Amino acid sequence: MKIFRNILLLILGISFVSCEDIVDGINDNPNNVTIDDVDPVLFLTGAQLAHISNQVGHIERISSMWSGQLVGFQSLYKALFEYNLTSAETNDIWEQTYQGVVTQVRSIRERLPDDPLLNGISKVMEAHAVGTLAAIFGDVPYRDIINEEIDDPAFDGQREVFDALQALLDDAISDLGQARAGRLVAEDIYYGGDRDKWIEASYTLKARYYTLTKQYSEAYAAAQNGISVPENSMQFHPIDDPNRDNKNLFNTLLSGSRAGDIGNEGSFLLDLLDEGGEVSRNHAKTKEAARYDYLLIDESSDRANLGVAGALEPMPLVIYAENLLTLAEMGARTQGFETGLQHLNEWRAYLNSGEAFKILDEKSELLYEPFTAADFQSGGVENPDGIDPDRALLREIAEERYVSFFGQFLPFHDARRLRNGDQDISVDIPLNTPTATLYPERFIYPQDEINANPNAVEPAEGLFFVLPVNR
Amino acid sequence: MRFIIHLNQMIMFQKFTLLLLCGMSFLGNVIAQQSVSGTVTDQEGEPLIGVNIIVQGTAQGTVTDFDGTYQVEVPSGESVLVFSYTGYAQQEIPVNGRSTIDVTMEESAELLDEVVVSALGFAQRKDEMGSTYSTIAADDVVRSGEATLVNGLAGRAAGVRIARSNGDPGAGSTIQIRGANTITGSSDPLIILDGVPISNSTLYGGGNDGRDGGTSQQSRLNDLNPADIETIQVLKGASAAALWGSRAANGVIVITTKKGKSGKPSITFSTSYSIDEINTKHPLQDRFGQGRGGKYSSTARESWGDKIADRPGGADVVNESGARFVADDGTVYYPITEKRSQETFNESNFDAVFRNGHVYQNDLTISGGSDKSTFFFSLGRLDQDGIIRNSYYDRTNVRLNNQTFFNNWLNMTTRASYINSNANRIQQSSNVAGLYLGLLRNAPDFDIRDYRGTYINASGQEFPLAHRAYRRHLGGPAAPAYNNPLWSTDEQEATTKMDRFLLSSELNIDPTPWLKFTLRGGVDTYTDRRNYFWPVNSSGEVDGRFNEDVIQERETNFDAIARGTFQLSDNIGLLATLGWNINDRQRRWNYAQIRGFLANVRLPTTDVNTSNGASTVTNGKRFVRSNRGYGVLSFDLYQQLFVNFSGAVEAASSVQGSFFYPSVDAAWQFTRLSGLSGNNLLSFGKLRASWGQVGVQPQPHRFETLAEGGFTYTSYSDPLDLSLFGGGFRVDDDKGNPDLVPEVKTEWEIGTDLRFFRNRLGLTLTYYQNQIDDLLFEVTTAASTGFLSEYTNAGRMENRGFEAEIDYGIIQKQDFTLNFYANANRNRNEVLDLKGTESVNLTPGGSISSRAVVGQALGVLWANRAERDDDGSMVLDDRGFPQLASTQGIVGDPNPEWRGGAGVRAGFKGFNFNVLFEHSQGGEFAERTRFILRNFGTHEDVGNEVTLTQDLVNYSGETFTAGTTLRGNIEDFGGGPVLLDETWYRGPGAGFGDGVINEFAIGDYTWTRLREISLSYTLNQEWFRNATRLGNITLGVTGRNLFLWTDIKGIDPETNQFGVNNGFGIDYFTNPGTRSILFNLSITY
Repeated sequence: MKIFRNILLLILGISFVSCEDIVDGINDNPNNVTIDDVDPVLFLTGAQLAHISNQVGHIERISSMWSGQLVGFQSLYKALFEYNLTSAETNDIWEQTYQGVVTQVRSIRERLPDDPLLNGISKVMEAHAVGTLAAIFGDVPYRDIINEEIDDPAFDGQREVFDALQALLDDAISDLGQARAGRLVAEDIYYGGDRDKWIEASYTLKARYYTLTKQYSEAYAAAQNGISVPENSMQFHPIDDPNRDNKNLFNTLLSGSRAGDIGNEGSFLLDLLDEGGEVSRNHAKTKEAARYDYLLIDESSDRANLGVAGALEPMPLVIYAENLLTLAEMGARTQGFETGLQHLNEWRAYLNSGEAFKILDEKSELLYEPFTAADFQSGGVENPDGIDPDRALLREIAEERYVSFFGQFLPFHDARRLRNGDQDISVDIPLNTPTATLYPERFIYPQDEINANPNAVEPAEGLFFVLPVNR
Repeated sequence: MRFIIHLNQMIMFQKFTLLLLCGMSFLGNVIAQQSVSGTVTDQEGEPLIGVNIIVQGTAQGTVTDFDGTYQVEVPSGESVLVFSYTGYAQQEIPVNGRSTIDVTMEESAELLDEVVVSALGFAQRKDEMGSTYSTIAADDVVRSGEATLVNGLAGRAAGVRIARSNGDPGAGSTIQIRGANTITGSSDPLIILDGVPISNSTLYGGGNDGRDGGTSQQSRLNDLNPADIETIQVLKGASAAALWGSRAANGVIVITTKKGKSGKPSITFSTSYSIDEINTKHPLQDRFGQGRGGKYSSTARESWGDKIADRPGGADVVNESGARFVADDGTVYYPITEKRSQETFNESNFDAVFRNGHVYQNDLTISGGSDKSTFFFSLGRLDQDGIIRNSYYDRTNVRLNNQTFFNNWLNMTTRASYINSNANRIQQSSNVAGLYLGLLRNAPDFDIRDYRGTYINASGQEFPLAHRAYRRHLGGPAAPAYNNPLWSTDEQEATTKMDRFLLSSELNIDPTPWLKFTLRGGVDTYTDRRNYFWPVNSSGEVDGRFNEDVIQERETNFDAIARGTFQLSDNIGLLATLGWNINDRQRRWNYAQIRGFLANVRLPTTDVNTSNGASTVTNGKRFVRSNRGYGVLSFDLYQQLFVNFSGAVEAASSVQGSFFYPSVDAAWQFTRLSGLSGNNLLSFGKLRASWGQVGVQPQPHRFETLAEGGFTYTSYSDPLDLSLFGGGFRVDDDKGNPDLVPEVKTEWEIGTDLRFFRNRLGLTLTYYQNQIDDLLFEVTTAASTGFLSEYTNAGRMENRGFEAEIDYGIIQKQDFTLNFYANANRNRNEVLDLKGTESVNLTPGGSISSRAVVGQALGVLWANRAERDDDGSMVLDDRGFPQLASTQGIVGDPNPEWRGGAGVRAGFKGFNFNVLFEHSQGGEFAERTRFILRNFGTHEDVGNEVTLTQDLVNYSGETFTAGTTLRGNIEDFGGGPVLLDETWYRGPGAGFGDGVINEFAIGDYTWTRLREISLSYTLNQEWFRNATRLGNITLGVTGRNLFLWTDIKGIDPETNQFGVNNGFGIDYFTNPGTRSILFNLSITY
């Protein structure tokens, strides 16, 4: 019976020597491609869509409501307009920042270490995405994020995050400088891979973050190399086809059951632009009727909108206006009155050309005559109350920024920055409810992060907690 | 770290293996033995093949061969041989020094010393088992009157819960043994058919639109023909199942099919016919018409309209000048300008869609064989028409089992079976194209019968094949909001066509009396083709939709097993088993869908729209393989203590590393002690204890983080769809987890099997406790980690329970037997830890969900509640009405406190009688259909008129003075009586959505039912056999599920909206349950 003993030994041999070999590799997913199967550049468009959704979506709209630029009329937006924000509201922007953008662009970087263009683009997007979170939440996780070893990323100080992002942008600029000029990247729906445009946007972002941290000289220096012509603005361009889910986000919002919920009729912004408004900024040198037409949103439906909420209207991410008006403000602050005035007039000349926004009604007035120093002297058209001319110039620049940055977080940033220490030049945005006494200073941390990450500790003041950079 | 543990386990197992090998190599030859041989025959002198012969008190034994002869080694001349064979009385025969012993076995209905089949497919004596086995007789399943096997198991074993989806023909059922053992994995036990695992998956597929709606799906176990089955055993405990490692946590059901007997062929033809009907109906009101606020409206969703008795009567006044509907039969319907008719249609509407169902089953079996081989052949055909129009299930089974003896030491068994089934299911549940949703929401004064025709608008334009339903009584211009139920039954289609092959083969090599080898392999493969067809104008799919799902599964399995018996000393015997198993499971599916038909036809074809843009195709695959080595050491000590040690080392493709599943059990027959033996009061007593570990495999293909395509980002109703920007990919937001391990259930149990009064009263008691660690589910992760979720081992849960089974032979006479039998069990489940997750939703999609919540039993019902204060009483508004709480929470627990079955079995001459009651005590059930029908104003609950005896205020604050008669109910929520009228039922008091207090949909889950009552008569007397040359004729009648006692109104609480699922206890327009009367005739030649 030796043969049977041998069979037995054979069985044992098979079963235990190669126990796991037999099942190895079976668990590789047969249905989805793996990350390594896919050309890394194919991860870029998705990241850029997540980024658009963050920059010009729901949370931006809330910030605009808190800055006098939009009005919530009913349902959820009415509650948010009245500063009733729950932590569930901010889940999406965190998910779409960390998972939607940063995980994706880091994956590109990791897999294409020798592609300076995509490395540069990836770093700019990371800096833009995380910088936005730091600007509106304060302390956010950064050093520890997306690290296999760390389940609960620590929250880094707001200022430290900005410092790290400045360094990242410097790296990005260096990478982009090494990229081959003229290369086309179809997956880059912002710039088509144009190296020079990305470099300019990086400098404008640097200027934005220096502005937030009140490092005004650095901001001025960075903006020198920022977006130099309107065509180099970073924008989301909706696609002209019969589909719905690739259009201007505000237009899409009004196309469904949310119609009527949010708009800007009766907003402080439109009051400023309205010739007959209580706080109208129109005067002999400035006629804002055409811009009023353009920015006015008909909240009743998507189709009624042809201006800023038109289906195909581009949405701003990092634009020429920001760079020029940063040069104006920082020039005035650090280089002197003349420099500031010169940049402001550059912007007014562009406005006056009629190219800055769509003219909806030829009959509406449009006039932006250059200012002179006299306009800011006591009793001048921009200084009827006789304050210091330097401050009067800054006050006009701040107001110009306020009306030129519609649809971005920038008015919210400026309002919080100037409210502190520069009260005299800040735009006097009204509170949205008669009972409110404080302006929201930030967004509250998302519920999912609070649940899953013990390091997420919401300050007791919540929305009204003044962020470190604004103190 | 993982590697080290794994290595240790391997070393440990290899040592164990070596020990066994040594044992087998040497011990077998060491002990002096003597040989006994003989022939075993039945009363007619025919040799019996496969009779089990065991040397009492040892694990040594053999089976008779094709001549009925045997040869066995016994330790001494004083040994006792135990002969057992299913259906025959066991005999214990002392050897007394003889070397030849011939035995005649006598048929017996009493199976006191039962032989059970172990998880590995070998016969073992139940009295020597240390873990719990419940045996369900195949005859009971056949007689139960259930058309499908799984439902036939209900109520027959303690601790086995069979929860059906609904009464649809062929619908699947959840099987749960000893409570929930997993949260998000399948709760189904492993099914071992003739030693080989087979599929019992219930797949919902692509065209089913989630588990909360769609159609019911089948359980693959129901493909088996009960007529082919010899025995069904339920292995409940971890130790009995441990050899199957990571697939055994839900218990194991071992099914053995029939074998042929050599000699004269036995031909049996049996036929049964049943009449089925709905077992409980939702009571509806017919006093108030369609409309709102007491006014008739022909388009209103609700039936809160005018009082029908107050109408003038006669024909309705209509406007014949404009739009109209011309039904297929020519009847013309015009817009109603004044509702005059007092006619109501609840009954005729019901009768239009429900009918008597029938199950017609015919089985032909032929068994026989020559002296070298035996065979069993069966051909079965089931034709079932469901109680809902056009629902059907038919199934054809063919089986051939063959056993061939090549010589004295080599035999082979091959079993082959082919199954084909076809069914049509009717759309149900949360689904505007569903049957009950359309029927029960239908206004009582709307006749559904003319459901199809041509809609002609005011300008004369014709729209053929229009769909007329109660909210669109002209069949246009807009789409019907809910289906006319006849549209659901007659126009829509949801067929499933399944072909399955089950093939297994076993080679037994018995080179010596003490060593046996078994090589066993099997293949189970099926293809299921499902069509779902919604013609143009179906609710929810007004432009038409057609899905074809093709699902294929294949499971292959191979075992190589060696068994050796050794007599270690006079009083210690050992049976050592060593085996290796490889199991491979593959599933592939293709889902194709066309939405938007260009051709308005009734043909399920892709030709309905040839545009590429209209169709989508998805496919998928799922592969799992496991590789397992196992061993068992079974010791018998002093003929009274039986101890088993078993272990399995398993590597599975979905698990990282190898896992070791140990178990141990012991049985002590204390009545063998000298002082206790021969006692007439306590004839037999056994104490048993066991401990074991088993697992649940993780979902396959979850190791890696993948690249994901086709996603959309949105921040708030402003989507950006990647596919509209040229497509692309992203790193999946669900993180891959290469460290997945099985959920491991560790269970211990203790119990006793007792028999009293010369074995007339049998009692089995078991207490068990288990804990499941490393439960798998999707944990929400912090976004800052870069991922949103991770499938991971993150929870803990426990079950504690008690099981009892009793069988008492009250009368045991030659011609008259009367037995009382009962079983009961109580299981306490508690979710201990979910790693910080507040709740895991098992039934996404409804306002009331069944969830996992820490500190609660799995499946608790979760919904909007009434605001309560600290002492639990409702916080009422100033009018005395409850208010909606701001957060959702637990509103009930559907788990029963205990369940049980009890019955009486009697035999008088040729008559056999059986009655079985089943009871489930306690728990809560969400009567959502009833709750929503109150909102719609169609339920009987809201058809009452009350005359007020005092001034009462309604929900909107209006006061009604005493003496007023009005539609509504009076209720006291604790702040004095208030009037519940339309403002309450259409406000927070009933309905769906976020604004209603769903807590009020919860009812008491307790039920009792008459599961079975049956009577049969068998003609097999001598004169009959001589006169007809037939073996016997049996005539029987069974009543199934005839009575149901419960506070749940309108639906059998055994149904489940979510079908085969871990979440349960919710009804939402679920297709109803049935009851039946079944007639049976069986002729054996």
